[in-house]
Amino acid sequence: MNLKGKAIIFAVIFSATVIQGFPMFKGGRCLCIGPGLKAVKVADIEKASIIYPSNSCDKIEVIITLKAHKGQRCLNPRSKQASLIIKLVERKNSSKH
Amino acid sequence: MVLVSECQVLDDSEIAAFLENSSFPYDYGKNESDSPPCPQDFSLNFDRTFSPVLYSLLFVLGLLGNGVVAAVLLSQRAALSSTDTFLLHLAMADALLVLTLPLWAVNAAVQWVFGSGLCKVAGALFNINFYAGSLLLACISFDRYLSIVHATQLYRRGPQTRVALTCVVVWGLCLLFALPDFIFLSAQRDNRLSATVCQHNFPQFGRTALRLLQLVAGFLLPLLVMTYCYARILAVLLISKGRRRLRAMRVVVAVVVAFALCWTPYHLVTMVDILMDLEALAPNCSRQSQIDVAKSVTSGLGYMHCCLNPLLYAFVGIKFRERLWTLLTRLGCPGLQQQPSSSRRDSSWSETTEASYSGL
Repeated sequence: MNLKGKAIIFAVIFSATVIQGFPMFKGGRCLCIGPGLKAVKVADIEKASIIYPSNSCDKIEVIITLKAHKGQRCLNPRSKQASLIIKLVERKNSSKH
Repeated sequence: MVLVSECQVLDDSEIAAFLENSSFPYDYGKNESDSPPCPQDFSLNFDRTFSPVLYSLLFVLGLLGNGVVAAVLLSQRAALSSTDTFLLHLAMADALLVLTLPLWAVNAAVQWVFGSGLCKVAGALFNINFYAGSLLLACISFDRYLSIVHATQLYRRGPQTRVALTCVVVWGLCLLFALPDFIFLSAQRDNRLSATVCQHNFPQFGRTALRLLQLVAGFLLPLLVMTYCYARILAVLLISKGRRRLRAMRVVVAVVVAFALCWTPYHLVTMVDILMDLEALAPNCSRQSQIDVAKSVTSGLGYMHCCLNPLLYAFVGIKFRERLWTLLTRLGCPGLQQQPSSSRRDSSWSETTEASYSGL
């Protein structure tokens, strides 16, 4: 086989390592972009959601729902407040078992 | 490491009890739009309506077109040239690919409701046939290149087993490529979408690099091979003048242009996505949802290529239309069967040009 044949075989083997990125195999994206807030006013918090890393996002995300329809905010998961909330969740989980 | 998607919710009383003694310098409120999570419902809603419609359409068209091609080629199995054999396999690959589209249509409209087993099978089947499609296109271009530019009848002169062997190798490779799908695909709950998705159970680490690789290996290299082979063919056809050759040339150009037109938009969008992942392009919510919508549309355009192949490679060819006519008359009224057209296999040049547009 000549050079072109080799080129084709090379292309074939090269693409073997590819994992398909078609939209149908795609989950969601990260919900938060950017660093996120350091803290929110505790009295304003209606609900806190912690979403753990998954195949669609490799970050832990802390989303705060504010009272009085002020919407949702992303908390920087590395901030002190967020880490306290995460700790609270872990404590709640371990007490369940 | 297998990542588990989890979501924990705390309500205000729990948080207030826990955080009341700690004070934080909070920095929101000055700017209301500061750090809200990105809503994904626009792109999801678009997907929910657009994809099922498109996939259903492609399912019908693809199955019909490729089915006719396969039927015509199979009816003349004994006299198949190497290009015809590749075409037969291409039609089967395309038909198998569009066969999975109804599942993806339901997936887009509702969620993945078919369980992990079918997720692996349908995902693998989709990718096997996607790869088979592009590999067979490369095989066809290489076969045409050898026979027209070098006038080496690699496949035609040798035993038919050589073509069969090539096809076995192609399918074997595609099966190999689908191994990651069999291993990593599974139906899982995605808390960010609050839906079950059929997804690679694969940490996001390195995904950008893999997508970059897909762009190069899955698109640029095949396109390069095709462009090179067909450019050389064109150069030869340009020197030798004649109406038949001119016609063959048109088809050659159409083949490459169709491949490029169908897949370039998708890969351009992927490129923007990669740039955003690398943060070379500042990500923002609206840009993300635009990308998601664009991906749905452009990948649909890519899948459309499955329906174009029969048109480009088969229906344009005179010989194919003659065969289809023969098949139809044979099926419709067996008494009126036409006399089979004489084989044009005596002259090497006429055979190659003939094959080049019977195939293309």
